[in-house]
This record gives sequence, structure tokens and C-alpha cells, in this order.
Amino acid sequence: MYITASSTISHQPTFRNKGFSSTISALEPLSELVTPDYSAFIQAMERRRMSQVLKMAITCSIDCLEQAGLSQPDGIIVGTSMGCCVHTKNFLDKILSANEGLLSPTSFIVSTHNTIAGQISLLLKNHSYNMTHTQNSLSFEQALIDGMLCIENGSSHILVGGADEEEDEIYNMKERLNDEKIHLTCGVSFFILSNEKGKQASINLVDVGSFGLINDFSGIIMEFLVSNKLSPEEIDMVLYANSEQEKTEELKTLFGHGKIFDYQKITGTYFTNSAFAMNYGIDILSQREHPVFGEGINKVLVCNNLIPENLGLILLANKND
Amino acid sequence: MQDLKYELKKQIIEELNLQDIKPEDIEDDAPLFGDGLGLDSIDALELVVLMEKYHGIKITDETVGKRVLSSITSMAEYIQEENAKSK
Repeated sequence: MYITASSTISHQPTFRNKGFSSTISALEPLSELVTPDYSAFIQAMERRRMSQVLKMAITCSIDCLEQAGLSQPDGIIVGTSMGCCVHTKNFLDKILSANEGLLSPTSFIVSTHNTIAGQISLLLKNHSYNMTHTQNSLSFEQALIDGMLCIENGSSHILVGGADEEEDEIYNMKERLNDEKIHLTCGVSFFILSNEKGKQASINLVDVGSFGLINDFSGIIMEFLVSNKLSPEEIDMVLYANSEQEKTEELKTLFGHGKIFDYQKITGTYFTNSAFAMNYGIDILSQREHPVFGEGINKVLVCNNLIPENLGLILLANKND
Repeated sequence: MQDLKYELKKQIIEELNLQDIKPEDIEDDAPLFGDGLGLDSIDALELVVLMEKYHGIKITDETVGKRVLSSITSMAEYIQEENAKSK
């Protein structure tokens, strides 16, 4: 299975910037979104009801389709933990300010989790499979698994994305992650999964795992590698987000100190930042000789343990491996 | 009447988030839906909310709604009629 297009809008200059993994550095405190000119992608009358996350998702989707040379995907699948939470908050605020009277319909219509996949479908006039997965920090991995199943069941090209926006007020994310010092950000990443190699560089999506209520961190990773007939020595790079320092020590023991990289330094923290990490891995793999990480990187494992009880694993490889 | 029409245009632009449109761009008698301003069915609901929020007028009848919300002039005339009734 191949990834034939990828696109990210984030707090880093990632959009339409192939090779960004060579040039971006750790996020500065109080960083802001780096956004393209949305008017080049979405008409004003359509844009006026969209929140930031919707504009990001639709722009990334259009970018992916253009990269892959497609007019329509065979399915649209989105993973989002918090959905369109800014509009959710607006809607709740309006219930209070209107004394539960007549309410504006727009905030309600665009505040549900499946608004993102739905709006992409409406704008593309796409009537194929449309699904939203919300599974906390594993939302993107669940969406990827769904996309892989669609390809295995005969679809040719599936648009899959991870999207979350910043709204800490109602979700108390810092408290839930037990860390007041985390750098809360937001981001959207979309990909085209295909059953054939693309015209441009494409990467193998080898396997995806999503595990809840974990109690054996290293054991699950080892089982995942063994099921793919791999040993830790064959993984060239591990991009990780860990909830606890002891998990980082376990990764060092498994893979070696020099192979692991904390992707939250570049993505910041949001529940679907493993989608950004996947695009980061794709960008590294696309450069046979990476100016920062060196040459010979052919297999990348994204290890998402943002929340202690959840573990997401995404295995990527160069298409010739 | 002209002041009321100008206020209505400003309220519509703000509530419907009509980007890049100024009150002067909206003609008094041009249709708000379809070929005119290009509003849609969700906007129709927003206009019903607007009439109650800014002018204290409830539109509960679909036929009345279609007639009143057809242009800036028809909205302004209806507001004046309802205000006159309540005096």
C-alpha cells in the first residue's frame, strides 16, 4: 500500500514545502499557525462559515488530490479527537446568551466531529465512503486503519487525514495530559493511500497498530515488529511522543539512543499530531540522503504514546524496501 | 427608512460573515437569495434569528418569511409595519 500524496498545515512551514524535515527546527514558545492564502483554494461564500480547522482540512485535501493527480478519492476518512471544538464552544456560548431561545444554525451545523469529512465531501461533490473516527489520541491511527481496509477491499485511492484545532478552555488538555508546561498547538495533515505507486515519489505504508489500555509498552512494540517480520535493528528511525520518561528509556533500550526523536519538539501537542509525525517521516524517507539525519533511512516507526494508556504505531518504508 | 436599510445591510454582513462585501454593495431591491446576493437556506434561518435578535420580530410563518426575507426593502418595510402595530 502506498502513500502517494501528503500535506500538512501546522505551526511550522510545512505546507507545499517538500523537504521541510531538513529545514524546520524545534517550535518556539507561543508559535502561531503558518497558513496559506485560503482564498486560492476556497471561495469566499464557502469560506465564511468555516472555522480554522475546516479551512486547513479542505486546503490540505485539495493539495493532496492535486499532488496525486486525482479529481475524486474513493473515500474520505478523518481522524479527529476534538472535532470542530471552537464552533462547539461558540454554540454552547450562544445557548447561554440566548437564554435557550432561538439559536443561530451555523454554529451547530459546523460544530460536529464529522463536519470536517462532510464539508470536504460537499465541496468535492464526492458521494463515496465518508467516515470520521474519534478515539482520543488514537483518532488518526483509527482513520488510517480504516483507509487501509478500504484499499484492501478494492478501493484505489483513499483520502485520509488527522485534524485538530486549539481550544484548551473546554477540554482542559494540559490537565488531562498531566503537564502544565506542554506546548499546545494544532494541525491538519492529509494523505492519499493508494493501491499503486504514484507518479511522484511514494512511500510504503507497511502497517498501523492502535492499542488501548496498554500495560506492556515494549512488548506491544516488539509484537508489532515481529508481526511485520522485523527486528528493532532494522528500524532506522523512531519518531515518538511519550507520556512518561520511563517509556523513552524503554525505546532507547529497544532501538538505541541515536535512533529515536521526540516529534513533539516540532509538532507541539495536539491529539492527532501523529499525523504530522507521519508526514515528517515521509519527508525524511523521500530524501535518500537526509541533511540532518544522514543517509540510509529506509524504515521509520511513528510511536504515539501521547496518553499513557494509548499506543499508536505507524510503520513506513521506502517503496523499494 | 434609508437608515434602517443601511443598518440591516450591516447586520446581515456581520451575522452571515459576508467577507469582502460592504453595505454599499447590496442593492435595496435585489433578491437576497439565488441570483442576487447568493444566500442559501442556512442563511434564511440566520435571517430569521437576525430579525428576532436585532428587531424583536418573530417570523413563524413560512409564507411570511419567504415574502419578507426576499430583499432589504421588504425586510425594512416589514419591520416598520410591525413596529407601527405595536405602538
